[in-house]
Amino acid sequence: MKIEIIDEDEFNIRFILYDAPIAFANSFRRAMKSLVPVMAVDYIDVYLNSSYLFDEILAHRIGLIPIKTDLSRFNMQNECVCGGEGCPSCQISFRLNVEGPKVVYSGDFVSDDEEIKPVYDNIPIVELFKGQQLMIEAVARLGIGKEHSKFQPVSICAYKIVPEIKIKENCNDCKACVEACPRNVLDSKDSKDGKIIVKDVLNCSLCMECVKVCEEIAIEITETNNYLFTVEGIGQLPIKEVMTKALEILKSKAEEMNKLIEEIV
Amino acid sequence: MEKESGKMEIKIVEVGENKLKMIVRGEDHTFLNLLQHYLLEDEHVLIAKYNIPHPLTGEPELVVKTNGKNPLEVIKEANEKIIKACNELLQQL
Ligand code: SF4
Ligand code: SF4
Ligand SMILES: [Zn+2]
Repeated sequence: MKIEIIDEDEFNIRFILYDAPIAFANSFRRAMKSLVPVMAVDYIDVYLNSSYLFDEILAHRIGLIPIKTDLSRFNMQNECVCGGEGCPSCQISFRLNVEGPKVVYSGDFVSDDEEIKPVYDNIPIVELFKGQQLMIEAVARLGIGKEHSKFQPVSICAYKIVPEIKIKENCNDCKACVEACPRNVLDSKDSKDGKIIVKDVLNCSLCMECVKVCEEIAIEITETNNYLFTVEGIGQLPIKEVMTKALEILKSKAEEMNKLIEEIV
Repeated sequence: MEKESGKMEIKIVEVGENKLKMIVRGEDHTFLNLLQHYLLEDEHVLIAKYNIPHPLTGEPELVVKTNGKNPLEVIKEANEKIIKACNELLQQL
């Protein structure tokens, strides 16, 4: 198995996972989506709310704000030394104290900690009019996407099979396949001898249109064990850390199961 | 909800020379499908299958039948393969 990163920026990454069983690719995808812990507000105290929104709606909106996470500093609440009561090493609180007229943004939250704060400052929460006031304390903790999607570190996490496209010798350069391909995978312009070349195999959607139009049966598309992953992070964690963490979690599950089996036998 | 992020628990329901049925509490397709794949790679395994009776109760049942090899050993070997695969990728990141 091999990972090759194709492109990468702050929030997006595309990589190919080579020679992996499809079960592994799928577990990797599911682990990134649902098992990597990140911070989100899970509890709020509303001291004063004279806005037009109900407390519950505010709570829901605040819960969905992505919060920068440092996994080395925080524990999952149920594994924490405090036993789930809540302590500085498993939760963090934010205060919001604003008065209208103004639009309240996620950046208005005052955090106890410089580093742990909303990823974006410009998410509107509610519009306050003259004389309206909000006084809220929000408590964030770590959670996993399986529990609630607000704890999900990625917004897109998908893979597709990278096919192998073979153009055989009996191709007569009729270019019907170039015309038929909806994703511009095939081309004949750039090649020297006018033969069909595969320009952009990663764009292929395995729709098989090219195979259908080829009268010479000169084109062959086969599935491989390579997968192109497209992952878009939300920003709580660097995207590489999400990948590493997901693999570590899968690994720890296997280790834990072996430990449990050894305890029983 | 408590169970969701909780630790894995296993409970052996039935165990024999070559077959095993156990409940893996707190897991879902993410881990069990992976385990099933690596179990089936083993030539000693005749049946490896899991069933999730209800997605919220989180009590999937894993059934393993072998051609004589101790099923617990087989599961341990499959887990070793998973650990190896993860380590291989972790090195590259
Ligand atoms: S399978 Fe579809 S997308 Fe892929 S090369 Fe053929 S026509 Fe293009
Ligand atoms: S349709 Fe078939 S014969 Fe025509 S150019 Fe494409 S591969 Fe060659
Ligand atoms: Zn704690």
